[in-house]
Amino acid sequence: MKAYEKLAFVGDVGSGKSTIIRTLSEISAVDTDRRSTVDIGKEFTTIGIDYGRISLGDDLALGLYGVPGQKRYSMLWDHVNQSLWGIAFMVRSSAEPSIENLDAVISHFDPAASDTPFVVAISHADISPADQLEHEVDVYSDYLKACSLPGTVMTVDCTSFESSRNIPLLVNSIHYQRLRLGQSDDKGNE
Amino acid sequence: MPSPNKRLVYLSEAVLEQRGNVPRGLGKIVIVARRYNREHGISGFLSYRRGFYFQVLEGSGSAVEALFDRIRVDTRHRNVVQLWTESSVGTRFFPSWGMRLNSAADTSSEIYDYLDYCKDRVEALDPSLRRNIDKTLSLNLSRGDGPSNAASGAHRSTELEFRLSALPSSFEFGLDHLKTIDMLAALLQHWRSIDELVELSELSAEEVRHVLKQPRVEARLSVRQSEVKTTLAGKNQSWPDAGRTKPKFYRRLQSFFGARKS
Repeated sequence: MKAYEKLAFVGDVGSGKSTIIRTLSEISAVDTDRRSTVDIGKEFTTIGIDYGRISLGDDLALGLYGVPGQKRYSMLWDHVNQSLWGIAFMVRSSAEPSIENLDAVISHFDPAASDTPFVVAISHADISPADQLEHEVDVYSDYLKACSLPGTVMTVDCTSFESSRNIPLLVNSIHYQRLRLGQSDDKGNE
Repeated sequence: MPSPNKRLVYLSEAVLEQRGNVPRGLGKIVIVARRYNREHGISGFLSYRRGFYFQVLEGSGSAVEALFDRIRVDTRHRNVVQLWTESSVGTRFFPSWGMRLNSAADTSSEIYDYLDYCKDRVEALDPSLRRNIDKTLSLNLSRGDGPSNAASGAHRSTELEFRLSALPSSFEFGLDHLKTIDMLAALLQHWRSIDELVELSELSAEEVRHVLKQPRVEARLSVRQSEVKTTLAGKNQSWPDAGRTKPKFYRRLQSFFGARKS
């Protein structure tokens, strides 16, 4: 039987969650992007759960789930919030970082309680000034630490495989470190 | 920042969200506090953990008092208790901390140092207050231990140890990419010596030092020596060969995304 792990990408409108799943997935990603009816700065936006997958050999796979980050979609969060291997909160780079949706996602998923690795990935960072990016990383890191989570904040180019792979690799490393410390069970993957 | 003349320390209960353990409005507290404190020359730190806020504010007397008046009527706090104040303090304990947030005291030697400095004031507090500070900072003050003895049973190390408060904005340092991520992830979780980082990342000691010296890393790096060690050493003793027992999933994910010796 094939072992399976789930990595959720939860993100604001335009944060790149559908793009990153298309970039990482080895199958044609199932996306739920639809044409926006209001001006959100792009033509299409996610209205349901996107899905992609990476097979790691014949007996192992990583499922990639993309879910809207606004609180009104929290009923969708429950569909993926079971035995998650990791959560990546996607947020578009901005001079005024907003924590409202991140607040709602952390309150709902409660990754500290379930010991689920939680990463904040800042997209569209290539067009942001370096000082602004440093400020964004500090703001999100401070917030994560206050929620008893490590400061796992990173930048990502969702169109680049090399950059996008850093998210599953970082989650992987966090799990690995815990195994080395004997602080985590291996969820039956051995 | 100008020299402070007042330091104020308080403890309060956080008003929690109905669901989960995250205090209500914590995101806004982070954003607003950083901006407000920068504008008013206030430094210090705020720790949230297990339902309590513990905060040190330092700055001019009027700025600190005005901010504390705001906090006392803030609906995100309740049962706000002023623990102690210091006047004519002259120098800052947390000069570069506009408003650093911490979830536990073991992430910062400055907090240990400050509580050591205030040991008499801490010991004079009501035992119930000391217990609540313990919850917030993961210390053992209520049992009479000083901060430097907080992790009971741990041993002292004379090695330099490092810890990252946040990841650098890029992981590209001209080294093996996957090993670099392993090293950075290790630094986020616990205090690590160079030897431990070498073991956990499979980078050489020289490569580990190369990463630590990068400005993007150094800016978020804490260093300590002769402090209480975390549980790593004890755990490793019962984990004799992590390489052999590493689950297939993690090995395969690493090799899927790039070459890594198996």
